[in-house]
Amino acid sequence: MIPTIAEAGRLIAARKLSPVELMQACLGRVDRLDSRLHAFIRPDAEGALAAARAAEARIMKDGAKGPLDGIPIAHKDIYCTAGVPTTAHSKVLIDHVPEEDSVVVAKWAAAGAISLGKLATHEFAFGGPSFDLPWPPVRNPWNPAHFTAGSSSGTAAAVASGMILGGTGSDTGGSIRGPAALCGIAGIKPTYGRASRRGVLPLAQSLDHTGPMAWTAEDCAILLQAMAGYDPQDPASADVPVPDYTAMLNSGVKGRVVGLLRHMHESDNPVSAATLKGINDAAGTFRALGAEVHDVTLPSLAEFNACGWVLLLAEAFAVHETWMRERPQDYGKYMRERLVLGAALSAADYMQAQKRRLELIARSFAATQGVDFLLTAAAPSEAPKIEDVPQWGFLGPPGFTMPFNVTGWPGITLCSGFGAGGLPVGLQLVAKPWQEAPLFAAAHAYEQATEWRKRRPAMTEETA
Amino acid sequence: MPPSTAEDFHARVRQAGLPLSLAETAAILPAWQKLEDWLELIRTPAIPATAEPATTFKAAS
Repeated sequence: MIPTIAEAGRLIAARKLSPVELMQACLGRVDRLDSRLHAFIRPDAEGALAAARAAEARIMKDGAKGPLDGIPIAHKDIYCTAGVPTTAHSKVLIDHVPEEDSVVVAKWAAAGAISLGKLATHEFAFGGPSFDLPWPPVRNPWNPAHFTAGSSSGTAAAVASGMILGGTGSDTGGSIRGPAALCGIAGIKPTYGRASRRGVLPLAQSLDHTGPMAWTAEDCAILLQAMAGYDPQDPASADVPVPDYTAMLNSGVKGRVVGLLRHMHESDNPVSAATLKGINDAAGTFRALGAEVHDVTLPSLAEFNACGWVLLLAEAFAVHETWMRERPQDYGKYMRERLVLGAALSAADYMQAQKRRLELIARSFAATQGVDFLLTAAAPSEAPKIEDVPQWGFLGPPGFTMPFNVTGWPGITLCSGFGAGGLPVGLQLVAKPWQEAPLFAAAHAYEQATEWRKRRPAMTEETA
Repeated sequence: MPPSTAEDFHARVRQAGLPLSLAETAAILPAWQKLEDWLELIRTPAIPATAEPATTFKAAS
């Protein structure tokens, strides 16, 4: 039985669960499973176990600091870690050893979370799944022949398989919410400006978000609580109060209004039967819990994706311009060729996208007056086989996550069932800026009313 | 606008300072042409006479 963070935190605080035994269980799953999943690129079993022993001694003496004290977590390898290589899964940064922790790494450590090491990602949170990088691509714990989505692929696989109870992700066009959907876990992209990006390797700064991934919405609330807050050294960070997310967790959805973005998942990019059933069943669940559900129309997925991807490609090339000129061969093929698209965009193209972005945001606010949450897909279907993932997939049918990178609104992915192949499908629930607390409450109410959190990948049941 | 030719696209990439051959950029041309479709979708038709709004995105403001 793999506990959630909330469960483990309560037991540790009551001195009924040993942080050392919890860590040993997670490390045991790393030993048994990660040769098939490749979620970790740099595990640190010895360091994690030593930290768990120290935490246990401290907790037995002084009590737990909070719900993350002694909890096994890990970080996507774009989060800088002092003295530990931070490579972005790339040959380009193979020797990069930061001198300081990123803000989020430091905050989670201060809350008592214990890192098992660094997790795989698509190269620089963009290029993947790739087979020409220093580490292989991550495999899906529900079926290792299948894709995890990306770019927070290692975090999603490690959480789903119980190697960690939570971890960091980043989301520029869906890199938290996409892998959360395909791996059957929860993941939130908070409001733009909610959590610091300082010390996290950038992809596209006007779209980049940091956020947590875990088994449940409640666990994401606990993790976001420990990473949110104003950082004057992150130019996008907002000086906005951070509410107590867990205090509101049981407030439910009675009286709330859910806007069903039917056009997105039925006509803009029609989803699989299982994904559609998950969304429609969720709408029924919210109604049964006392919410009002009605259709809402936003600008099309194509408009949002066109705008977002032009911004992303242009900004990403600006980050990588020097390396692309001097050492393009050190990138994997997917990352290198995607950056070439950004190189070919003009300043006028970029400004057109920025102008369109403001218009899309204004239209989104206008279309959602009186609406608390928006409901649509997080991914079009269950995970495809990894060899069937096209190089230019992001230029194909428009995705469901980019709209909320363009607007900066918070969005959470939840597991909403399983497809014909036995892999999970996900839904996406979105709120207005800074409304993460009611969003967590709605997500928690949905998870409590459904059965999906009771099922783990079969490989986690294997014994040593 | 008609889609770019391989030569048009190669010229853009070279102007950005990337040392790629025509054959290398030609392999990426279909992706670029798809991106050009998207550029058409988001391009605004005219420059208004009044001052443009600020375009530095910050959701927090």
